[in-house]
Amino acid sequence: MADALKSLLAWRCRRWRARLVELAGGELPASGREALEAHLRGCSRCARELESLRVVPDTFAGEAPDDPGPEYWLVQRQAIMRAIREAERMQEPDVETAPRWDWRLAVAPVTALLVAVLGWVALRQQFSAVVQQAQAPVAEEQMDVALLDAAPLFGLGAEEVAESTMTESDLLAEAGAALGLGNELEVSLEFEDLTPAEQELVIEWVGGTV
Amino acid sequence: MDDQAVIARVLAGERDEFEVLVQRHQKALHAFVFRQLRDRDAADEVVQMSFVRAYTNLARFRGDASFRTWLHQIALNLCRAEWRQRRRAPQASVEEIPEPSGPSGDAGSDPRQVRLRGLVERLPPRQRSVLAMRVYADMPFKEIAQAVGISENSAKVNFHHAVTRLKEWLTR
Repeated sequence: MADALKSLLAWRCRRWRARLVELAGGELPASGREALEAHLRGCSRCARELESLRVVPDTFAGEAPDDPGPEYWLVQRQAIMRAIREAERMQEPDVETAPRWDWRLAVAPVTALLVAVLGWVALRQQFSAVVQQAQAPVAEEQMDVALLDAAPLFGLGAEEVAESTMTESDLLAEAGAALGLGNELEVSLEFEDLTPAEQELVIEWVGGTV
Repeated sequence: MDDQAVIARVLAGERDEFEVLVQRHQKALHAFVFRQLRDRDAADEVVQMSFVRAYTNLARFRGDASFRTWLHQIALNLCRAEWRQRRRAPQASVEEIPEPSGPSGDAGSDPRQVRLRGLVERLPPRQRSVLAMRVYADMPFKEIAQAVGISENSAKVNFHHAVTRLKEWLTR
């Protein structure tokens, strides 16, 4: 349970993750800095993460392999250029042995292709209405399934979704606005990363917040 | 002369100018690929294939992203193919794995460095890719996002996950 709670707390701070990376890299615009700094004053977890983002990359950058010297790269570069010339040679047609082009040879296959295409177009027009009729319920059904899956996250019941004309994007936008996350919800929602127990906690929390 | 100008010259027929791009990017690309594959020979091969593919598809390079980003994207796709192939191949026992050597090898490294590299290897592939591009190739998140095929925000979140995990493992 403690682990689940820990994960949940991390999940609640998810909207700051990209901003923390920007702050650590000196790329956060002044407009976003104030809000993040206010959050950092009250969140020791994010403050620790910011410190990690400043220190850890340098640790790993320092383990870059030694440069083997110009000789190694020269040999590799020569091998690459040889491979490129070989690939180029393979692409070029052999002038000596390439057959001469005779347009008359193309008449029969082109005619057959034309007949096939015209036939297909005619058939498509004839049955397009039937096809559209058959496809529409499937698309609607898929959208319903997506909406029903998303509904509990936002405290909506199945009936409300069934009666709604909202799309899934509308739902995410509305939930994002309700939670004060803007469009962060869609990009930072990592619900599937949580265990089923944690997901339950998240559903309760989101439901309560909304 | 920047990459775009070199590319224009290559496309105009000065094909040997491509070597300028190879020279400019080979070290960073090799370091990046080696950290994905942990095998010097495989890294050499992927780097070579990446440049060959970049060259043969240069006319299709639209310049939406930088050449470096595009090159890393090609290399990352080749690394993914290599991972898939390795998953299918029977696993060698620890004794059968040769000691890496050469520019990116571990032989002769101090235990701390070996440990650090081992920790990076334990990261999920996407986090490892983002970390390697940021730390070893010094790429901005916008370019990393384009190379990996994710949003810029997601690249930052992946970097955050990678660093906090590494910190956790380091303090154990």
